[in-house]
Amino acid sequence: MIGSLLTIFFLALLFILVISPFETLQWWAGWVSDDAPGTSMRHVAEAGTRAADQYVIFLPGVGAMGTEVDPWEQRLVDLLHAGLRGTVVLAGLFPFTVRDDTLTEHRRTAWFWRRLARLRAERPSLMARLIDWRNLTQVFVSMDPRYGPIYNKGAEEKLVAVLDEQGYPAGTGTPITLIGYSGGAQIALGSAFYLVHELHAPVTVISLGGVLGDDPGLENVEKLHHLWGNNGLEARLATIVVPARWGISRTSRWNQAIAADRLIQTRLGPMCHTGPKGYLDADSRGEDGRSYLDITADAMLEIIHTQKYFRREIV
Amino acid sequence: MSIAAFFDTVGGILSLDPDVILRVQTAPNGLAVAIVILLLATVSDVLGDSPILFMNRMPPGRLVAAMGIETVLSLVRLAIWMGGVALLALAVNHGNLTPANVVLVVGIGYAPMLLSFLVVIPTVGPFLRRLLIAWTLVTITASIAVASSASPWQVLAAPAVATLVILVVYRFSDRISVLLLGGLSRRFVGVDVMQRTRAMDPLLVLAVSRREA
Repeated sequence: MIGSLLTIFFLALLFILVISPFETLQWWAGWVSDDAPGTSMRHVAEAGTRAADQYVIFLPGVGAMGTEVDPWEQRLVDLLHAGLRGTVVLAGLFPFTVRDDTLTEHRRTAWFWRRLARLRAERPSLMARLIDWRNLTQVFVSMDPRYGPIYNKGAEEKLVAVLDEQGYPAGTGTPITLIGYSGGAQIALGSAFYLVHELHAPVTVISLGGVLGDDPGLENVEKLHHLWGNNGLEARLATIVVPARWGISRTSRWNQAIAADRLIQTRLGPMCHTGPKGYLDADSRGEDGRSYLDITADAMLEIIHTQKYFRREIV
Repeated sequence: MSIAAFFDTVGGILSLDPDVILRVQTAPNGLAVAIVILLLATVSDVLGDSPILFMNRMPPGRLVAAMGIETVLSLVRLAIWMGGVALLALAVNHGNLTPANVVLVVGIGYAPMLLSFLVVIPTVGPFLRRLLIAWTLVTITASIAVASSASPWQVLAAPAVATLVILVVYRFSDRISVLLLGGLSRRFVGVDVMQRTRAMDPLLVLAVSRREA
């Protein structure tokens, strides 16, 4: 019985993986219309003043299902918002689809994902992990050189729509910082490539335990700051499974970006990827007494402040 | 042969079971099994390569038609390859090797390509394709080894030489196929489906998006 259930579960994983590129491909081929009324932007709750000095967008990890921000992630967004005056800080964008909808709204399978969301809220289970897996497959799509350029263009168009809604002055060189947590980091890096071209903006990407590939975005972002913890298995796994990140791949974009000082990797401490003792844990404390959440937020604020200073220098 | 029996046979071939391979080669319906494997593997390969059609922004009806045409062209491509091998075999007067034998032996060895639809899997797909090609070479070699049923030395040497010949013929015939069928494909489908789905240039995506905007 358990064997059969596990077989069904693994077949479901394989099925989700095999069909994962087709949502993007159908969107690119024009088979699906983007007529969901801006659902992915509805909960952009952290908007500040217009015509800001810079814009910061937070992209969530693979547990996201819609525009609701996870409470753990919201605490980080709140700290960033409090620490950045004159900056528009945006959160609540669902980056794991190129379509203008979310998993739980305006799609035929929405009922299934809503049911899984209820299941996850009641009791974490293997079935509920299908949400993470489904979103992770979209991260793989973003990394893939065949599908990634299309997927990342779609993600960029969603970001541009949100920035436009928040009064971003295109062409003025106002800095944009994309913060991506876990799988969101790859989407941030992938879409950054197009943001630079479309908005003529300096774009900095901050990856928090990001699962990152050898993306073209590494060639034109101002900086990619990759923050990771000693116990963050997910981020470490990416360094193993992406050959372009191995030391021997000297001509890869990843290693070229390191050589050009465009990619800066910072170890935050003995943090794991998620949950207690994770990057966003407000209870666990580092050697200096700060919570893990504060350490993470402080590292990001320092990067963003430096970015702001950099902009004033060149102006 | 039932569907379950067919997949059992395929499982045996994939695990290089010489008894299963011999059973298929000597069965009265062995040639039919080999042809079914070739057909299904070709359809699977076409599915694995289907992203190239989406990338060219085909409407659904045209995409299905294009996949049908691609299947036919891919079968012609296979036929050219196996025809080349059969001609070479005839030229060197290799005893009992008839065109039907070539289809039987190569068809059985082609079984790993039944999984080639998995090439669509993001990130690991291209690696899987290389793995499947390597696996196919091994199963073809095993199939030739079983068919030749020669002395232990020949079991090692003859299949290796035959596989090398098949590979050389494949390289030569495939260039001709791509040249001829690629032109036909461009004419009927608008895309050269003889080419594999390769990396997309992000600047091309940008240019297309701007043009449409």
